[in-house]
Amino acid sequence: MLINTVIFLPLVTALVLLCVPRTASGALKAIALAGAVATFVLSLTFMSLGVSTVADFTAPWIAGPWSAAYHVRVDALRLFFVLLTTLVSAVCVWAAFSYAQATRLRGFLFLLLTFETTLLGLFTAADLLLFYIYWDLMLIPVFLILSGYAGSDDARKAAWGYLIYNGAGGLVLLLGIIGLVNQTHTFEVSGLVPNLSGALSWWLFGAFAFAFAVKTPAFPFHSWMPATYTQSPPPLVAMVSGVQSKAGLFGLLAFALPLFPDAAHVWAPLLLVMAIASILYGALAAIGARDMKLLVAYSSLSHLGLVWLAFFAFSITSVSAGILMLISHGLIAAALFLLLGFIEERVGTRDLGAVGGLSQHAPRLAAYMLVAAMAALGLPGLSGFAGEFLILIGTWQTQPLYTSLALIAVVLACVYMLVLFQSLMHGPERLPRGAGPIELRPREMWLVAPLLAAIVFLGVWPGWLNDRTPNAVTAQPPAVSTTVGRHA
Amino acid sequence: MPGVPLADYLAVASALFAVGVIGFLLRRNPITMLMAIELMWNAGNLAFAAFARTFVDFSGQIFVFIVVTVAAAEAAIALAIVVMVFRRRRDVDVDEISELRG
Amino acid sequence: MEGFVATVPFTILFLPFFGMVLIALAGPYVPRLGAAIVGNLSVLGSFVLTAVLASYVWSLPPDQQVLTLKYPPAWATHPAYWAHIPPLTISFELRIDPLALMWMLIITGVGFLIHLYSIGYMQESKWYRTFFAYMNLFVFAMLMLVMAGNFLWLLVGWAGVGLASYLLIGFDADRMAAVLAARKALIMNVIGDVGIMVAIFLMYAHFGSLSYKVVFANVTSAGTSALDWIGIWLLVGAVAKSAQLPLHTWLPDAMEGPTPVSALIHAATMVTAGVYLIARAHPIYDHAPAAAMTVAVIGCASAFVAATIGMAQYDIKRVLAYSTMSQIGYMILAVGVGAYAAGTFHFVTHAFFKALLFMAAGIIIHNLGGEQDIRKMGGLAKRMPFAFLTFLIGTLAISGFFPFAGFFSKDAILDELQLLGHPWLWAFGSITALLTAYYMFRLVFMTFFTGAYRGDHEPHADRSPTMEVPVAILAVLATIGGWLVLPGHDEMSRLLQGAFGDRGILPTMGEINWFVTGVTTFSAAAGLVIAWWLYERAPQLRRRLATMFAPVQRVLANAYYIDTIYHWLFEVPTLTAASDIAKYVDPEGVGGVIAGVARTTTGLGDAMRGWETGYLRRYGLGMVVGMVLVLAYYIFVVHGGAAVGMR
Repeated sequence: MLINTVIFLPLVTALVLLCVPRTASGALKAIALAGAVATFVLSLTFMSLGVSTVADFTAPWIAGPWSAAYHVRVDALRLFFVLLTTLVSAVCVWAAFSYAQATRLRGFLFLLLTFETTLLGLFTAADLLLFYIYWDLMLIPVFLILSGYAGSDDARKAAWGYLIYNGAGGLVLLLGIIGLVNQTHTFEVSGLVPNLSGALSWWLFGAFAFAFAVKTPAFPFHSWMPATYTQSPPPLVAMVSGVQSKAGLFGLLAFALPLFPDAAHVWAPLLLVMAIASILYGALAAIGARDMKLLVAYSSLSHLGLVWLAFFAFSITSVSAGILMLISHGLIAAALFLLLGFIEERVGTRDLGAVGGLSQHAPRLAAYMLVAAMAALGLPGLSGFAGEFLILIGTWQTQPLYTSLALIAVVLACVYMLVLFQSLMHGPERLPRGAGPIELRPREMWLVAPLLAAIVFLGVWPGWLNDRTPNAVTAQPPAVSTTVGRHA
Repeated sequence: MPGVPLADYLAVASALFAVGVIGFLLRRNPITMLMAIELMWNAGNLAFAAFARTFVDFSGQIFVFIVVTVAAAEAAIALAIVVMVFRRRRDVDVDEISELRG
Repeated sequence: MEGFVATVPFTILFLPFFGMVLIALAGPYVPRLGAAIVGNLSVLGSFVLTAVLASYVWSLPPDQQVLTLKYPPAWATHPAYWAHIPPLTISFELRIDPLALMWMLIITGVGFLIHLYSIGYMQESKWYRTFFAYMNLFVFAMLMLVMAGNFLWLLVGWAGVGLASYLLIGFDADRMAAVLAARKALIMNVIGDVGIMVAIFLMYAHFGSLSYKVVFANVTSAGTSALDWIGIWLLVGAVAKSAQLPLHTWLPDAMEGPTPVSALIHAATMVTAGVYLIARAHPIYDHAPAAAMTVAVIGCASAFVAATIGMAQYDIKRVLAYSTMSQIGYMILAVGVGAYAAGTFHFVTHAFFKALLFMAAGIIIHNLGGEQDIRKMGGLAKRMPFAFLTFLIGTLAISGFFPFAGFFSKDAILDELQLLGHPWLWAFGSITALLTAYYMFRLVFMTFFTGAYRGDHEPHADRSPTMEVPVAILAVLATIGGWLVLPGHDEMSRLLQGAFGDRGILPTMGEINWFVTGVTTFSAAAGLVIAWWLYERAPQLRRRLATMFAPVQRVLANAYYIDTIYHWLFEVPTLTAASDIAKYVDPEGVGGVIAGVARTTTGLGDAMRGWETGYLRRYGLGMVVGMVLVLAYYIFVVHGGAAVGMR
């Protein structure tokens, strides 16, 4: 039952918010934050599970020719995705307090909390039907916030782009699921090895991979991303890039790779090219971006491309390191987008050319940005490096050529992160007229601090996470472990 | 009437149907058009009943009952719409009612 | 002793780190001097402990002088690893051996002196506390680099010093030149990091471990070509960090940082990390002849090229920067040919005299209100006698005059080159020695003599003991530091025996090869005389030569235009591609395809909208036609017309 409490506590909190008058902003904030933090604290209890045990809850749902169950689970694979969601969500709910239109704060918090429940549902779903339902449900809060709470025409346009693009991805995923369940006659596919013809599994894996590539996003399916990431309010973009972007790669690990191991190998050459294209294209686009949020958006494209590389290089090291990279990227992207949000709020622009020399007014902000930017550029000792290094050391063993290409992006990452950091923080002072005090306020410092602490912790001791995720990969027959053997 | 062959029933039904179609296409008064639709319903009903009798399968007759009830409901709704339209426009020429064009 | 060995290295490593944390947390709540004291004491503490540890290690027999420390210790019930994805295991481990100790002593010792110097030098800085925090971060990262017990932690320290270097080069963050120099330095250093990463990947592929112990013990199990590749990729890292060809262009720009930073990071310690890396990986280079030869050639070429550039520079710190590159070239050359002890020896003496030169130059710059152009100096010998005297000692040492420190170490390297049969490398090394003496004395003459003072504003000469005491100490060390290796008495090799065993300890260390020594001394003297002749005795001859060789002069002054070449070769294409992608390709190309799909869909919709006329009877007709068509299909196609008797 604990699982269900964790999944639905944010939703319940959101519903409670609706009973509070929208003018009582103090009460609204207190309730929302209490709910989000309580969810995080409760989810920490999953840490006691250990690697081989799972928290599991099943209830019969649909009988009949295509059976489905309400089946949720937290195991070694899902644990850190759940923790990432609850942590980032709590931080983002707190960050949302400074949302400009005070009278609409209630709706904003309501949607953020609802979004958290859909994310948690997705990461715990062990039944394919449930997974699919959450997959599409996720779109709704994001669409509503973008179209109704970001407050600009560009944002409304971005909302439609987001909805249509991701809706199309979801449709293809649905086709894939129907094609699969037509054979298995059940949506409960975890642990199942369906006996499919090669051609059918090729098509089905392709459908899954397409949907996942859209959601991540990966080049060339990322066109929804620039507008969505730049137009979203900071708490939303922190959740979308920090958590939601992991949904596709999580889906690969939890469903697509175990279900279609052979098809995955057939698709691998193409997907590796896609990964490398994402890595290099994202890095170059980030260097060229003049909009600070856009720069980080493209850097996400590059970093998550690395995880695609990790998964389809089929080495045990890189797949496990890919999970580390996903968690690490979630923390870093959330921290960066929140900090950039604070800056945008103060200076009123996202143009890198219009702002400069902030560190002179805001040494603390500069220090925070430094840690986040260095983590993103892969400085050893911070989590970004740990993920990157362990992925590449693994992929080098099976795909040295692609790894070499990915290493170019390590240098490019240094370029764009320095452009970001230095343009904002260093150089002669440039401030738009009428900008208020720049330094971080105590609330902002405290809310970003847990993310930075986690970044440092995972950078100094990634083995802590490694030791808690081994079964995530190896215990999934016949997913990656056996296919590696076949590969070698 | 044991001697009436199936083909005759069907001929009558076809004729009824053709009358309905022509009426539907040529008249501009919605009430007349509704009557034409009723003709087509009943052409179908006649065919159902004839087949049911010939093949001794009563599903056909059950269909007839369903069609009759649906036709009644349909006529009620359609007449209500016609009345509403008449109240607003003082005119019920279907060629004039084309606000829903794309 | 067990506990001592387990805790002392840890304390040495983390004292500067805690100093940094303390300064950062205390922030503006303590007076400026408090931050300086914390910074100084933490590094001094590290130095004292290092000295204690060193005396302990060197009291052991040579074959037991390698201490490997794993954290947590073996008796811990829950082993912890930095990374643990079986079969990949990377531990927290340190390795203390004579090689590491040599570097640790210099890092903490010279590091402390420069911390002390900074108390006065940075007095006017707005970010006084931050400066000490960054300097402590540097010392911590550099200690991590040399104390690491496997290549992962080496890389952590390696990148950590890169970060500290970046922060300190760009310390005056409101000057764009400093910001850009810092960016360049970090990007080039990251290229080096990538080189080391590739080497690590190769080592993991061949040895299944990153631990020095495992890798070096099994080095022969990999083939020569594999070892060559590992060596080459390590060299990429070394070249970037040590500012050797072709990744050297960041170092002259790095002189934008405050002078103590140049002295500590860009002269005495960080830039020598490449030498350390190659000396540390010597078991690999011992079995990788091609890689080792590449190392030697790159070192030799860098030494020579940097010396030629140094002859045509007018910024006092840039001349010193090129001389650093040149001297490190000597060290790389030495470790490349396998003379590890000689290379390490030159590192030690270089740390003394180069830190001395920078700090003496710092006093001059400080007193001239930030002026660095030697054309605007001159005649300073009388006005700043202390700076003159110490700078002169440094110059004599770097030029290789007996009995100053540089003489012994440079002579040792050139001796080894002769002995190991590299006459060409030796010849270039000797020519470089001449060039070194020439450009260094050119610097001395232009700064301190050549008539009267040429600057615009009067130099002030405030003397602060915190600045002069460390300089004086280094002057003494730059004088006597070479006496570790005296004829017939080779202390250096004895100290390093535990690290290199018999390899790298060559019999000529401490022997006098009169031919080599003669040539070296002659080169140095010739350089001195030429500089004196051209700058003091016959300036008109110098001007005549300058006009005659103006194109050469221009090429050298622009450092062979390498920066320009890189600009057009790498920077411009990358940035053009990047901005094209961000401006056009992504929004209109990739995004355009998607927008095209959307436009097609709406277009189709528009076209089909015409059919929706709103005329009820037309819809009816459509239905009838459709019905007829369906019927016709069934009658004529499916049943082939049988129903109407056509068959």
